[in-house]
Amino acid sequence: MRRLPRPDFLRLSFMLLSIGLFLTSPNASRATTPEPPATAPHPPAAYRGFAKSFTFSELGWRRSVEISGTSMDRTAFFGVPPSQMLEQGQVTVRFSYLPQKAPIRIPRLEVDINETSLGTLPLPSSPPEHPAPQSATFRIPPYLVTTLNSLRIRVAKDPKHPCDTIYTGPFIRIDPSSEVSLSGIRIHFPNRLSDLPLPFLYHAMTGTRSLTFLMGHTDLPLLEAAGITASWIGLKSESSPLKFQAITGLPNDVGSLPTGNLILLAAAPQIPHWSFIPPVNGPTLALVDNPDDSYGKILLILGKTSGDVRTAALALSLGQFDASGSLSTVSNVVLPASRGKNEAPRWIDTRKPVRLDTLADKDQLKVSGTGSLPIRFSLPSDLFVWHQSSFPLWLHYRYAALPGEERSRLDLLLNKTFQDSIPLPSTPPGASDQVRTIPVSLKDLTPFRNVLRINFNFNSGIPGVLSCTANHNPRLQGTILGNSSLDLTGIPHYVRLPNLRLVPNGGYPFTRYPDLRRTAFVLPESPGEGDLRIFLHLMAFLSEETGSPGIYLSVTTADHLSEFRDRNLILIGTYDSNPLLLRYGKALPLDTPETRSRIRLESRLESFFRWSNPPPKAYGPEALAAYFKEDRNPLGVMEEDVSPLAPRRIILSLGGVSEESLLSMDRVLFDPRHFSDIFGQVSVVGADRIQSFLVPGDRFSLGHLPFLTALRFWFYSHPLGTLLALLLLSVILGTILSWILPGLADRRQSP
Amino acid sequence: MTPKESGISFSGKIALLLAGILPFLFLMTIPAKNWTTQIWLGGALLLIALLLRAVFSGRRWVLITMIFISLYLTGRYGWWRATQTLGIGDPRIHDYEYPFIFLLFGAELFSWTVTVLGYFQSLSPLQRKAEPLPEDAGLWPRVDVFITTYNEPLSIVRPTVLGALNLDWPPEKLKIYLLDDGNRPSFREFANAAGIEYIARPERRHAKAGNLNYAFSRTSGQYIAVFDCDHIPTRSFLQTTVGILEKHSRYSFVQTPHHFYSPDPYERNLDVFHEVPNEGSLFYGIVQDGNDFWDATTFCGSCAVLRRVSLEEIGGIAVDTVTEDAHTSLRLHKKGWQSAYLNLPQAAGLATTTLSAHIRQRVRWARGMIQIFRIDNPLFTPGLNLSQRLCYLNGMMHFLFSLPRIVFLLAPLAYLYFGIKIFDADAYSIAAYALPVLAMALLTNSTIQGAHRHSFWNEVYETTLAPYILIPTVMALLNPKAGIFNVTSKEGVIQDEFFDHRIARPFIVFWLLNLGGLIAGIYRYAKGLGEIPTIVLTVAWVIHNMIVLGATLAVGWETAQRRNRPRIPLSLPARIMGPGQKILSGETEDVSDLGVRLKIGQGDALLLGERLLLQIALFDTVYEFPCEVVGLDEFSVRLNFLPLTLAEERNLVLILYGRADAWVKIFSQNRRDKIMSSLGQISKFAIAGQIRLFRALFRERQAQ
Repeated sequence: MRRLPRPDFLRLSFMLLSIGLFLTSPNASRATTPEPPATAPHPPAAYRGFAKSFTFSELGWRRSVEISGTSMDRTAFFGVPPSQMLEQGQVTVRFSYLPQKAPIRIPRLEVDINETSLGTLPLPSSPPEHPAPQSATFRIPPYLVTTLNSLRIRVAKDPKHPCDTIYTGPFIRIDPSSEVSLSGIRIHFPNRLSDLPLPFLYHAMTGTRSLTFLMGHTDLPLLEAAGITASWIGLKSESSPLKFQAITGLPNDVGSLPTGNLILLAAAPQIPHWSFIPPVNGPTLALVDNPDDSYGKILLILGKTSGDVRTAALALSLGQFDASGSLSTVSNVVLPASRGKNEAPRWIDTRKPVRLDTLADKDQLKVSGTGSLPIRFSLPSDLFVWHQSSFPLWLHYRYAALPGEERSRLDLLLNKTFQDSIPLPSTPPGASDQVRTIPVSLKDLTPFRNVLRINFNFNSGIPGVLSCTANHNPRLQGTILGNSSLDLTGIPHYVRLPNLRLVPNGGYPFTRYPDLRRTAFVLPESPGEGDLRIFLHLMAFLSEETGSPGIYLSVTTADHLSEFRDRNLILIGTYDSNPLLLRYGKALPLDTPETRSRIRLESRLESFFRWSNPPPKAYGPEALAAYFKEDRNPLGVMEEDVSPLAPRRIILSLGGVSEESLLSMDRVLFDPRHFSDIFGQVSVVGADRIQSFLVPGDRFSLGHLPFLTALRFWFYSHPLGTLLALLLLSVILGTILSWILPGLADRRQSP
Repeated sequence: MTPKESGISFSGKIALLLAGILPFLFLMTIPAKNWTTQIWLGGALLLIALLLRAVFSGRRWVLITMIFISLYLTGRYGWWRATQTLGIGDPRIHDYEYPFIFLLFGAELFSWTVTVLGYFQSLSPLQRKAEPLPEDAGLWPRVDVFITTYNEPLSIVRPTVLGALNLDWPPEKLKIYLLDDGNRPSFREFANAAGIEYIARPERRHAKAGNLNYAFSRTSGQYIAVFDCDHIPTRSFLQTTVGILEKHSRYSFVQTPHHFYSPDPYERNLDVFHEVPNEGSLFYGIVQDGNDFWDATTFCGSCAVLRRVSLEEIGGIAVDTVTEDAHTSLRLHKKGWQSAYLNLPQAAGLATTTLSAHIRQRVRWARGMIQIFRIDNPLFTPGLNLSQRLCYLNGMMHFLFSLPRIVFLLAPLAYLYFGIKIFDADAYSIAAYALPVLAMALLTNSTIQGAHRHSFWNEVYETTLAPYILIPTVMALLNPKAGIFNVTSKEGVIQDEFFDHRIARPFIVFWLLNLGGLIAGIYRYAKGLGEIPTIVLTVAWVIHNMIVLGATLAVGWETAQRRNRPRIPLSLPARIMGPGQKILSGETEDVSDLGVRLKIGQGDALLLGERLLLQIALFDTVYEFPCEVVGLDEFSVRLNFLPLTLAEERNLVLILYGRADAWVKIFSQNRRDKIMSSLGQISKFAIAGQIRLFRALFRERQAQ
């Protein structure tokens, strides 16, 4: 769900401050998104502004859209970054009315920007015989536009005939080549550290944010610094899709720096003599103009040594720097007390009931008229909800319904699954406060991301025939009070690993200690762009999930592994660059028969006398072997194995077939559409899909279960165990009985 | 191993048993991951049970293991049904579906309870032996024999009285009483002629119980042997039973089986006499012996010897219910008296002739048992121990089967006709859980009951009674005081075969409803209305119902019974002496009250209508009977008795019914159960029953 656009005060203030400071640049809009389409005319070099246009298909309407009288509103979103100020904008709608079999009164279509009407499409003069393309252009007043904008096309009610029977067939087709064109001036911001994360990230962003890291070299502390910086990005990203680029080695020539916004990490010896580099006297943070692109900024994270750079990155991620100017030298970083198990700031604390106002803003807990209140929350991935029924939701709500109207209801859904419906009986004048405890099914929880939806369904009390004349009744109000709470206390934390499903859902087990105290990345000796992209992206992802920067992160190479043997390891690389992938992974490389045989298959006998529940055939080891036999060309493999180096640790391998394939793997792996395809122990990443497999192997558990639950779960997971235990018990009981029964019989027959 | 050898005290063993049962119950609550896991687990257990049964057949521990497996599967299914399939809180279940879901669940709950109680009851049949009496017959106790009659014809009562006269017991210590509630002069004359006592009451309160109590207060023997007027005792009856009472002074009574030498309506109408064990065989072959182990033998009103002192203590035979016998034994047990069951047929009687008479008799039993359930509920009434409570509970709960049985007959129709969900689960899971339970119960019961109840017959018996027993049991549950005693008619001649419409009507209705369900299922399948697995499952269920109902319909077809005295197969050396000094030796083939068939070498020497003297040898005595030749063929001759004197008649009774081993072989000659062939047999009857139904309807149309 998109947020509702709100006035962007930040942007307005910058706009006022920086008017007149703009300069020209041909590639100015590169760092912003959506990127200008190829069809957009390039502005002349002298032009000091920007011009861009998006077709509807680029905004998400892939095909032409046919609209009928009862269609829902069609909405698309487009973004304007804070560094651009709109002077002119227009929407051109290309459409054609469709021929009708029966004469109907064609409704008018209204075009809205940010809930404000721009006008209506002209009606046809005569009933159309065949679709005739037409177009209509509306001016967008610049003052309506913010960073995130909604464009809506809706059927307008005819005020003169509100009760017309609505014609349900499509009457108009909107062409996806319809477009939004925007032009205006670009704004130069002052260099102030206090504005961070601007210009890299800003509130209500649209599209993918692209972040370019420049690294002086790739020694381990510097890589850690880059990782910590990436986790700071993740922390601030507000769930926007991210894209990382990593360039190692700095050009001597300033002119060959990339344009746009950059993040530069380097220790003093590696920094060329560039004029814009401030003097480095220890860990330094600075924001400077990109010499190649005066609308671009460079965030400098510098130090005398790589260790200094790491300190600077820590300061950035913890906010422990002087933000008053454009330059800050960090003298000291105080690391916060390390967080305990499952204590990520963005996860629900299961040790006490959680108030709903800690999960949603007050505004998001109110409706006027019928409406829906989504409450999003993240759970620790290791909650053990197996075979437990429900958790209580203590709901304190207030509403005002019409007197005499008894049909209103409050409906509750968890992850789109219906939970309960509470009647909202008519209230005496004024509002009614109610308290209700509702059991919510634990089965409907997902391991990490959850949405609890509370719908107020008010019945307006207006008879159906008249309802067309009134679509809004201000007397109907509903509020969920902030002290309502959901209570997940008492649910054990317990999980069986390896389990890849928990990686996209919360980054578990790496985020079990959200400051990554127990995590180490093992990168190739000289990491390439692909390795670094995945590394940075993963760091950003983990901190986005937890809300905590990964300040205790360690990066190492295969040679220095021994220091980190008691950590959960993440191996990144190709099978040539990172030798550990071959040592600890099973699944790749795929091309030799010898390695294929490493996928352990079960014999028929084994599969019958299987100790634990079998995986579904389509995802079992046979399926994995079959996958490789078919000689497909995947990009790489993600797999999770038990670490042989320390008990109860895992190794996550991200192995690409080649350095290039790692680049594509990055794109596929972090696409939320594929998250649900990641599970089991091996995920094979293809060009546009992920296939996962459950393979037999060692497992271990993290967390603790109450004894009986643990016993039940063990028997549940091991039907053969149940069978044997049962037979054993039957024999024991039978033996005892055969001791007892003859004695009883004798006793019966003796006088 | 005896208790002393094992070194653990008895209560220690009980504690061990309970400690082992806890994890057993715990394992029942383990859910299955999905239906394939469940079918794997259920199938594996079933397979193990089958293997054990095949390899170690007949061992007690195998039976106990099978019982535990069956208990486990049942408990697992029950737990799953109760926690996952009742649709509580499931928004997909409509409010109107809950009554159906709970009705079916309740019916299943009932059948699980009865199954479990049944396992308990028949865990270890005692199979006690007769106890010897003192060598010196002068020390034997005095015994009164009570023969009760109300409206039966004298022809039925005569052999019983003569049989009692044949009892091997010192005559001075044996007194025989004919208790005639009908107060008929012909009976009084016969009693006088036979030299026995005759007692008639001035009034007839409390029916048979009152009749016995009246005589009880006017007699004084130490023991009382009770016979219904058609149960003819063997000569050894008292010698085998009284010894047990003499040995155990706290024993109140000894019950022996009720054996029937004529076919009951099932045996006759389906023509399975001596092929399939009859309905009573399970009770007298297994259940009573099992009860005896738990000291909970039920008194059955006849063929039993009671201790006068114990009866005096409870104020005579109980009169509050229409099953005075069971109630009396419950009261005796409550007072701490013990009981014994001797699984040795020492008397035989006539089975009910028609299905309607059979149903009337069972309705009376059912009503009576439910009355006891209300008046003296075995769970709460003081004085019983736990095992007695459970045995009595099962005996009474058994008679509540009618509602569950009707629910099972109609449940699938709710889905097939109206699409009403009868459980909140997918058909695969239901099948995966329920089929192993059913199969295992079938297997275990077949192993336990073996020669005494063949598989699937139980359903036929219960289905036949279900519609008739429902209202009396419900009425008795609501008001135990209401109820009348009706005497079961025993003697009958069915002149021509006929289809008993009146009796068959409810089964025709059920059958037609299930046929409709079958058609609805096919329609649903063809039109895609509903999920295929659910349709397949319910249709299979309907087909099963139709098989059982078809067999029930076949029983409703009363076949002709032209002889009014059954012939009893009997092979004894015999001689014929004719007037022309012809002496022909042979062997009896069958004997009845009316005549004899002889296997004989030179049959051509005889003439039809010739009068002869028949000599039959039994042990060292030869008994003579005047006869007439009524039929001849190459190897055998049929003789009818000429009018016999009372002494001759008494001898005939001795030969026919009085031999000590008269019924022992027949009683234990039933074939063992084979599950699949039993199913095949029932299916065959089902087809026959359905054909008979159509024939009857067609014939009726023609008659109109």
